[in-house]
Amino acid sequence: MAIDMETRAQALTLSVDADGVARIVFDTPGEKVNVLAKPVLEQLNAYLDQIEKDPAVKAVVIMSGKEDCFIAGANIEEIEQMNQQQATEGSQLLQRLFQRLTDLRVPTIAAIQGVCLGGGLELALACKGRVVSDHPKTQLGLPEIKLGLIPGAGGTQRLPRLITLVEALPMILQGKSCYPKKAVKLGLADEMVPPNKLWEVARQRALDGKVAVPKKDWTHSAFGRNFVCNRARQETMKATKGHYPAALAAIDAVQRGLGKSLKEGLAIEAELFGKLVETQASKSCIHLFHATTELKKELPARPKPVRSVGILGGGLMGGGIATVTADLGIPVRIKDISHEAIGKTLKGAREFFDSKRKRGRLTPYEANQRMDLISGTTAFTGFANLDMVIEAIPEDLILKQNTLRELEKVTRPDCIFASNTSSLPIKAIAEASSRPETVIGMHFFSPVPKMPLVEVIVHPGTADWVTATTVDLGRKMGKQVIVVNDGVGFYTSRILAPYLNEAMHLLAEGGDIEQIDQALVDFGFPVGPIALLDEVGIDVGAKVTKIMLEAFGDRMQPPEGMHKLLESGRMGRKNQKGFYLYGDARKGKKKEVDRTVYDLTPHGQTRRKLDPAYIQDRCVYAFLNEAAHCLHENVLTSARDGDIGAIFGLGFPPFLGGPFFHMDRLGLSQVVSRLEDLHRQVPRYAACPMLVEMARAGRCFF
Amino acid sequence: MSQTRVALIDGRRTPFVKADTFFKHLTPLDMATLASRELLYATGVDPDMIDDVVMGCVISHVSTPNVAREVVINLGLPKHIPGLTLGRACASGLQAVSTGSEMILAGNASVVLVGGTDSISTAPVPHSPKLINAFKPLASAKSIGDMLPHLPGILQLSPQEWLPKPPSIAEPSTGLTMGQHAELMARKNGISREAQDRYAAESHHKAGQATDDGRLTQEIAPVWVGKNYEQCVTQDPMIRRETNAEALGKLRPSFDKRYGTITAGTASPLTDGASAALIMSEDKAKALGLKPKAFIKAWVYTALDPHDQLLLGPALSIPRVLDKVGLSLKDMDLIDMHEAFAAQVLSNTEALASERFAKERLGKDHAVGEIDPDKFNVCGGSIAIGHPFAATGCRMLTTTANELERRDGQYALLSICAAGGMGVAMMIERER
Repeated sequence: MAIDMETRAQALTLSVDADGVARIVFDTPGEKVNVLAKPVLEQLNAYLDQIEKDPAVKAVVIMSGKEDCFIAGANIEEIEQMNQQQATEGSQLLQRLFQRLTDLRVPTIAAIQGVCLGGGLELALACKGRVVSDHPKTQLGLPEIKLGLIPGAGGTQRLPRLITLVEALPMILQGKSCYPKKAVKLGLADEMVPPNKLWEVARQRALDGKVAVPKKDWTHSAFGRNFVCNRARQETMKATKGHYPAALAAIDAVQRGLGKSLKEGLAIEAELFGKLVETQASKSCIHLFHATTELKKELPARPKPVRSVGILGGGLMGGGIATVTADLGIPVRIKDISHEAIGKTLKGAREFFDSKRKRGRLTPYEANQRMDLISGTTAFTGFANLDMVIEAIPEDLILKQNTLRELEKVTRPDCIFASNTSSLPIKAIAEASSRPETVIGMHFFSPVPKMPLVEVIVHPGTADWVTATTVDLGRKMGKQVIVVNDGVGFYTSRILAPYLNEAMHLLAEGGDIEQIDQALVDFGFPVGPIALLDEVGIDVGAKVTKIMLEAFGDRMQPPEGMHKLLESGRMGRKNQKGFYLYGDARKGKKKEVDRTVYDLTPHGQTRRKLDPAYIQDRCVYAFLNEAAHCLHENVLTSARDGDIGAIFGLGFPPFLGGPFFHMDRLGLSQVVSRLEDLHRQVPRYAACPMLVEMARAGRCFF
Repeated sequence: MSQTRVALIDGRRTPFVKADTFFKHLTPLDMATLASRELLYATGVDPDMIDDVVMGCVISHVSTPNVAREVVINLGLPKHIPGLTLGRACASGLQAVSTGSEMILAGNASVVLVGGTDSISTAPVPHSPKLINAFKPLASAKSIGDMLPHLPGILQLSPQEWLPKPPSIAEPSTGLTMGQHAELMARKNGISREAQDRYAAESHHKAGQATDDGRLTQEIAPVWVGKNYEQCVTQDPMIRRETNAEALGKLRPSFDKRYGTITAGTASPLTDGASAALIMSEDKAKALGLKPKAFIKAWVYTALDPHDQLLLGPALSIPRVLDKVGLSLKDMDLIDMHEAFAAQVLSNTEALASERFAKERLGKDHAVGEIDPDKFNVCGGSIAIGHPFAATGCRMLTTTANELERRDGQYALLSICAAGGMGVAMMIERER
């Protein structure tokens, strides 16, 4: 108990100077960030008692003892443990505590430097004024929405009462942070100062009793409030299909709360907060948060610095990889067979950097400088001293092997060869290498700058430092990086294959393309499987299906007559001919099915209505089952990686937390029994032995 | 004390293009970046080894007065590498080489990236001093009221004073342009229009040949241009393989419309481009396992009264550099002279061959020597290839060193005439 008291005392300290300015400093010992853990909150409460009783105190300044963190937010572990009632009570408790700051007889000023997020910002909002430092780490935000929650300590009430609704709502609904300059512009902060002036200015403001003046505008009228909130609700429904109750709850809290007193508004917030804690979406988002946080910490060895990168093949993929690499400040050397192809790559990079410049993310100088980092050659000139070469040439094993042999003649012995293949076994590529330990897979997703996943594939001979260096580079690019073992299709391509394949079967069974796609969009995928196949390329899909069939047998069996699609010259979007209409053939803006495609399927133009739930089960269970196979066969080393890969690489609904988290939620015995149901009608649904075993033992993945 | 030698490892340049064409949007910094980048990839040298960057730039931009340092930052090279930008008019390129060499010889550096860059297209065009002075007080005015008293001054400016003033390439001391000076030289030395046209045509033919067989293109960094980078420039677009003396003979004189002999065809054109070369101490090259193309052996800068024959620098500097190392003109396997004008080249070669010139101007009894045409400007020169002022030096250095290697020669001379009546001659030596 004594030790507890001591740490508590250190995490939060109070001192009162000769002028009567009380200084409350958050500084959790031994931690990089301050969080609003229970003991800290109790201590704050005690200090407020003390301040109230002490007539010598004239003003209060709240600040942090850490250079780059004010308060990072509430303790997620504590929230996770709560049920609805506990969460509502927890929210009310925090609201009451922060209300004490507002009600204090003396002015309170938050002096903010570094990360000020979630509960940290809510605490600052409860103060009478806020001063921000222009330290580069300073950011203010309410990221609760990312965890499927809403701010529960007054954020949804105090923020829109302080700044205009059009600025406050996006902060709450998207969880985007706001930087010091903008904070002052919005009225969220009263003044921006250099770090060395923070204390002095905050102290003086507190002594002078300077109080922030809310920025009122038309959005604070009943009409404005309803107008903005109704618009936001429409847009949110459109974007999330109602899968994220937190976004709707946040709008409710704002719309209902602003029409009432702060006290009543806070009560509404607390009630909604409690309800959200128990939603599947929130549990999934928190699962994902933990998964990605854990993933970032893992490295099998010390990564080597990557100071220069070569890219083979300047197409869409290679160009995208070159762009994100140059964006890190790393010089990139592209080799392609034609100057024209390299020119296209440069064009793509220019567009990317220009768009960043237009959004204020890069200065004009930085945009040009990043362009200067990208150079091209039609020979291997300049490859002698590269740290890493990423290959993005066509998917052909012999071609890749030959290129690797050529390359090794000119590169350093410790130059990493990363293949951006989506399906070829890395081991087979490495067989062409005189130094297979430097060969690894680095599977990017298209378009590279936008897609947040990189799948790193190791073969048994890959050296740990090579893996570490590759993973480290992927992370620096801002990607989620999962490491999987070698195997046909690795993880992502492999689980996507049966999913797309079942959609094709449904089509062959007489299903309607729009209906099939809509069912999966309703399930939560960003696009339907058939539209996705048009994007991937029908020819690519056929090629992958063949490889999968050879490797995994019957459960990858495509419907008969699929070759007719290819014979009719349909390759998808790339040649403007696929399941949907493209270019001039399309009348309106809306996606439209090319109905002539039905003539190539067994049932011709007669389409039948299928139960959307059945469509979803057919596709999704094939996906889930294959994911289990991947874990069973050790392609995946953890269910966690499987969840991250499916969500960030394939667009699996994040509100379901990933295939494994979803299966846990459904109950493995339920999953197995549904698979058995399907298996009775369709031979491809034999449940993965691991699932059967785990279901029998009553185990789950997490 | 045995002195270290300065080794030339390799050189690269952008294509040299006509001003206001392909590179019209590229600044001297952009082009120097492109040339240096390709050079570093070509040599494979770890940039961490570079001790300094020395660049020539004749038309310096106000925004990047030290282009050499900006190249370091632009390319993401180690931030500890400083940079020096210098100017000695058209000799700036070789000045960068000799200054870099001096750093190495003095023991202050082992590896230096040298080069030169110039853009006519993006050259700053200043306003008239009257316009600038009229507007200056407005910048410090705190209110509209402060501005009012200065408005009459602005309104009094004549239309001409409102227009920007493009700089001309004129000698400050003589008020004559380069072309007018060359015209004077042609007249004084009796260089005929026909001889000039013949010379210029030959420059194009040789450069065309050297482009087609890859001798020039191997030194060129491809540059992607156009809004969508749809065009890739891989060679010097101004070279005209099909031209001849007759065709050139039809052109009107440029600088003296009535009695002149110099045309646009016999003068080096206004050009955009950049070049770079990597030099290092012999020991360093050995340690890195790099084979030097040549060694920078000696150099001499000279100058004469601008009112005299402004572009006669090569005829003065070549004999001095030969004397310095104790060799004669016939020991040279190659001689590369910058072609500002055909008339200037021919004036210089005649002077070198003239006993009178030797006696009067050099204090020697005998002429420096006749130049063997088979050894002279064998890949063409600035008339055909173009002349982005400070970029010409390293272009000549690299091409000559490569050609020396191809011919298995030992010695070569490089010489450039420059504004102000200056000249430089540099001797390189290859180990056979």
